[in-house]
Amino acid sequence: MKTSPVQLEIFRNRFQAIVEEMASVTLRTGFTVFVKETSDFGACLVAPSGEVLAAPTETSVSLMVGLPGWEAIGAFDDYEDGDVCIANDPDTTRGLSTHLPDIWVWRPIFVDGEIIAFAFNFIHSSDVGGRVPGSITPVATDVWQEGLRIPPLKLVRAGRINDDIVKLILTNCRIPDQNWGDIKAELASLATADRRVKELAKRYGRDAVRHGIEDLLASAEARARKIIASIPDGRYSASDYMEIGDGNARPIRIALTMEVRGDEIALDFTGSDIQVKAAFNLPTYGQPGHYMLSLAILNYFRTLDPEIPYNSGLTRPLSMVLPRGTIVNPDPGRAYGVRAATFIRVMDCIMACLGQALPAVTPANSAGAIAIILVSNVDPGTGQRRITVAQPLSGGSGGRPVQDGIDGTSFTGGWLRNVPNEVLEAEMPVLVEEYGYATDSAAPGQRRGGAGIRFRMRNLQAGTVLTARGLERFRFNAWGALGGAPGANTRVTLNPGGEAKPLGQIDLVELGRNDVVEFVSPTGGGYGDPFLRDPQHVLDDVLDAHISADAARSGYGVAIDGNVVDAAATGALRSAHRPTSGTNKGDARADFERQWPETVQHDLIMALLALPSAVRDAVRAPLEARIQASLRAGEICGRAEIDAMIADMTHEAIQ
Amino acid sequence: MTHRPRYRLGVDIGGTFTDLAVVEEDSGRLLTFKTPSVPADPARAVLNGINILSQEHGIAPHEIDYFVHGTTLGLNTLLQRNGATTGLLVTRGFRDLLEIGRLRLPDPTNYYVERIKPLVARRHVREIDERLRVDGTILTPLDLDAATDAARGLMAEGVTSVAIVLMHAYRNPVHEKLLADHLRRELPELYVCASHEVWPQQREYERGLVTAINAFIGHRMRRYFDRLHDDMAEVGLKATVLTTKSNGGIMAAASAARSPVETLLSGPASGAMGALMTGLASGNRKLIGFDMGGTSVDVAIIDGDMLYSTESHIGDFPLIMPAVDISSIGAGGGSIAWLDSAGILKVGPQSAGAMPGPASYGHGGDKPTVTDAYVRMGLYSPGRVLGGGLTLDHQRAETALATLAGPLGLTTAEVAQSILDVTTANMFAQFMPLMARKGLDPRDFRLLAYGGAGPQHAFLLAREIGVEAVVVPASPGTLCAQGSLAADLRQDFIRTMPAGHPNAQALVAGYDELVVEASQWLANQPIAVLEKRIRLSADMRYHGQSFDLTVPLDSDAFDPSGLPALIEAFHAAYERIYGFSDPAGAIEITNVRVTVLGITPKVPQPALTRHAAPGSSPEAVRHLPIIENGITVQAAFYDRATLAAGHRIDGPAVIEAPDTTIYLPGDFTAEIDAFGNLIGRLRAPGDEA
Repeated sequence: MKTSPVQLEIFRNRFQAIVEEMASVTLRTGFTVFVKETSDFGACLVAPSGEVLAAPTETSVSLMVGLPGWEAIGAFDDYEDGDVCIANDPDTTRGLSTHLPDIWVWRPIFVDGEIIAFAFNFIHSSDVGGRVPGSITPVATDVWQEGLRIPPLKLVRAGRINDDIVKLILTNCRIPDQNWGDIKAELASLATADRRVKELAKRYGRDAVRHGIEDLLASAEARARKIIASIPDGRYSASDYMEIGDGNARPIRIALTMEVRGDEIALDFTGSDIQVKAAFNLPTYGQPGHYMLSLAILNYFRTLDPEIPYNSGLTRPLSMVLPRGTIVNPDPGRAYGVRAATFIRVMDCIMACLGQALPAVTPANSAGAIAIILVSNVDPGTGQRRITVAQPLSGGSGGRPVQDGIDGTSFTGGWLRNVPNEVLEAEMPVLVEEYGYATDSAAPGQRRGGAGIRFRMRNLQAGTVLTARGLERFRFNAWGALGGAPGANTRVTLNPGGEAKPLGQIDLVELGRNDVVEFVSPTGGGYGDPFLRDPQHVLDDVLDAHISADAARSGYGVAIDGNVVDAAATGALRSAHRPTSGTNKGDARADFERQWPETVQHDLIMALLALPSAVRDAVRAPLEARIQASLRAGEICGRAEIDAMIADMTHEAIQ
Repeated sequence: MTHRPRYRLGVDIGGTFTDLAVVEEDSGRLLTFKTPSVPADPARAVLNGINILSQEHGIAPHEIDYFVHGTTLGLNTLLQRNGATTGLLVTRGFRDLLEIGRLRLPDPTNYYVERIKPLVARRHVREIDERLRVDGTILTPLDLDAATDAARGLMAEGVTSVAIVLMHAYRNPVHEKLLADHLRRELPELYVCASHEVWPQQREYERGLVTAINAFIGHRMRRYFDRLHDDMAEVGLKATVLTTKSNGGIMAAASAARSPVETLLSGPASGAMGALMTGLASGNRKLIGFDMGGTSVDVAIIDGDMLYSTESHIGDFPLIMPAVDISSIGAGGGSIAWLDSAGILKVGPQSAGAMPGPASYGHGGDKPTVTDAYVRMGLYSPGRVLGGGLTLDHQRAETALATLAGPLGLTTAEVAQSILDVTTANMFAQFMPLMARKGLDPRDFRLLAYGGAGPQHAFLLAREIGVEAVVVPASPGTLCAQGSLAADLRQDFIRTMPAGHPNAQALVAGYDELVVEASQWLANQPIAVLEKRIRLSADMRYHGQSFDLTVPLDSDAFDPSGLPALIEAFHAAYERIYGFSDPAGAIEITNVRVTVLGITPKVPQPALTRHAAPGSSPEAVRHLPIIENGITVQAAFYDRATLAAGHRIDGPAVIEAPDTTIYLPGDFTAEIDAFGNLIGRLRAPGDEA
């Protein structure tokens, strides 16, 4: 290293100040509701190599480190001082952007004629055109339906803005003023970065800064490798499902094998499902260390070593196998809007693998679903349609080695803020009847999982439209670890007090006057055998009304008598209990896999991947029906049999 | 004697020391001293101080006409979580109001992160049957009997203090009032606060939180104020006891006993008011207050006037009541230097605090701190006795620094230099985003250094952030007490407006009600004021945005014809802060605000009586080697008491005073102004020292 340890800490602090300032500027001046309500924006500094050298931790999403900056940077042969580039298209940025609403900008920072770094910024814009207001809809089948695609373009050349591009972009959005406000906020953020990095180079010298950047990345890498080296070598596998309604009966499978060898980690997604004709494809373009695939591991580094520099050096020890044509590396042109659901399930699989490798330090899986509940209706005063976030809905985290899970939220989406219900009622004709933790929703464990949230709302004006895209875990459960119970399911009910009707996954629901909708968010798994939980802690949960006395008895083997533990009865209950251990994936999954064994799914996916993309989409549904028929008939259904079925079907099709 | 001297007494009760400042009203002459605090009985230290005052300084309690005191009792009760067992009565459906808060995790990237533990245990929350609609009309009437039974039930479980937080009580307090009045009558031993009394602003969590804090600390504060009142009467101090507030103002202690949550940030707020006073006296209205203590730096910003914030934090809790805008940076004289798992030098956030303190204090601390680095740099003359009788032990500092020297492969002098460099970088990293959030450029400001350690580090930070100058006031150690003596009576009021387009009638009604409330409040304060001032402002935003800008109105009453001017002012303010505005955009007014000020008589700021030829150099007491940028250089040491207006000092220099040590690095030059402020600037390149 060319930089002394002291100077390295000084540089780390200085770069951190710059990216926090960038984030502050964006937050302060950004226009769309996503910036303030859900912190859906980001800012970072990127080394000339395209690796993130610093990213904010205090505001904004935690999804910067690992972005493939080299793709954006390499989109142009040369840069001038004062250039600013813009793009939102996942395909032409090869995974920098992962859906169209994220409008990215970047700017080279020149010192003495040489590019010393780039500043990057994105904002989740409220609308970029496309088939629906807000641009995101799960039923989109290709990217053209999702809005305006901006390939990498020079928005500003040497300080002069290209008004033609601005005009083209704004003409294609439903809320051009807000978008223009957002773009100006982004330009302000980049200008701040430019000035601060130049000041830094003036203070310490260009070469010292350049070496500082290289050494910060190397230092993060070295510390990450040290942590990985402490993970036992081995291959760890996990798979889980997304239930999204993409028209197929079989849920989408995410499969992961994590191989730890020495100080490196390889993530192999072979066996993950094929891409879908719905907006759940996650366009990673096979980029190693992609930010939407590595968050779980980055968080793990930061948990074990809170002082670790937060930059893309952390992803250098990671390699990835992302088969082309799968949900985690789709072909170009697919729909991407709701890819966050996929990102969350990938995170669950990584956590499950870490849990196998390091059971004593890894939490049980978290709820695994986030939805932003939006309500919209026509303002009777103005006749204009208005839209607002009702609440972000997330579930509790998994139980943790020495702590209970977090109630009401977890690590995917832990940056989300809720909406004051008094403000919601002032902005929309709704009445919130309940917003709180759901009793008995937390998964039992020696360390229990976090509770889910119950949100019940009465609609007061006819014609209110409700959406909650990305809600998952209606069917399958978050896993319990080391004998802990699995998490609870999501429930969405229309008029729970009257003729209750389960709504399931909702894309869009129109409510009548006085209709009530109740959401209960899913929860993470428990950690450890719940019958080993300290009876005093169970009593506390009962007194705090997190669990009922019945649940204390059935779930934990603790008998409560008034305000005290009945020691004798508890002893009896507990001695009759057969200890639980291992991972508990829930009954729904076992049922499903009796119908669809994992090996069959694996063979099916591999067989489909071998086909051309167009054929694959056409063959999938009938092929799955045939496999099901064959399995029900008790026939063996391996890769050879599946290939034969495909040959048969394509032969039929040709005839 | 025809003219008896009249005195003002300012007392600041800190964790370790209680500071007293006495000003003679006619001359502005200032006397300050410290006495140890008595944490178990904070009023005791005030009494001790008053005894010292009469026995050693000949100032009898009855000669004190004006008495302002500030205390950290409420703050410490909150931070140490040793307040009352508190219950919460809340609208049915919202039992987890305090548990969920605003949902976001303190650190979403850490798997072992913990939620902030609420002040009220979940088992001590009772849901009440009642509900108001958003317009304040009653949807479900209050079940008073059930609510009273709930409160009785809580008392049976040991609850002594209760917060009442009902939905939309900011719009219509009818249910909260009914319930609070009833409980106070039926259960007189229960300490009751209702959210509309504490701060009637829309947003149930934030309003509920300040109410819960008030309930949590209120019991203890009321006891303390009663005790103080009795003690003062006993010694013959007849002046009304006033207390400092988070908003930089003062109020009668009796008011503080009812609403102690308003005092939580009073310590740093008084310091900032002292900074403002100093700045105004020397004609400077753009200042960054830099108050460096043992564990942190408190930064306050004066941009024309004091900046206020409605987004303050106390520990982990957000505070929406207006407070002087103070940001805390986690770096102080006691911050501990350490090596992380990869051998990188880190400073803080752990602090050695006052006990055991830095290694050089000799109180048993053995970890190297920022102060120990100053000692090793040579900023303290050997044998120098500091305020409070402390002498710094150079050998212990050396020994502590040596623990890092080996692993880093550096000499102890280099370790000391490195600790200061990293500390400066830490401060910089937290300071710059803070300025960015306010849309301010440090180059337009002067850094005003106070607190024990501020003047030692101010120049090091100034060099990095590029402020125009550094100012060290004449008495940087007692700026808090001075600020409190110059403060005015001040109270803030708020009314949330209906959603949608600004409604002139609602605005008129809102302001009228608040002005009446404000005038009543001032009239009830038991001291005379020179003048009453009413200030109006409005929280505004573009339709669809979710954050507000508070825009001042330039009159003390609102009439509907003023609405266009107000909207114009919003666009202009938006343009100024964010660089663009949307003159055609629809506007919303979310809250109207009124602040009432009761202007108190001011004491003149004494000027220096010593004058020197402008630009002349003072006589150095001694020259000693200090380490600067890793090199040993000779520095001139001065006694601040000998400096005169007009003197010029070139760095490297150290200026010693009983309450502080000023370090002027080699690339700075300083001069002394008419009020004894030391004003230092970076020497322009080529300008000879």
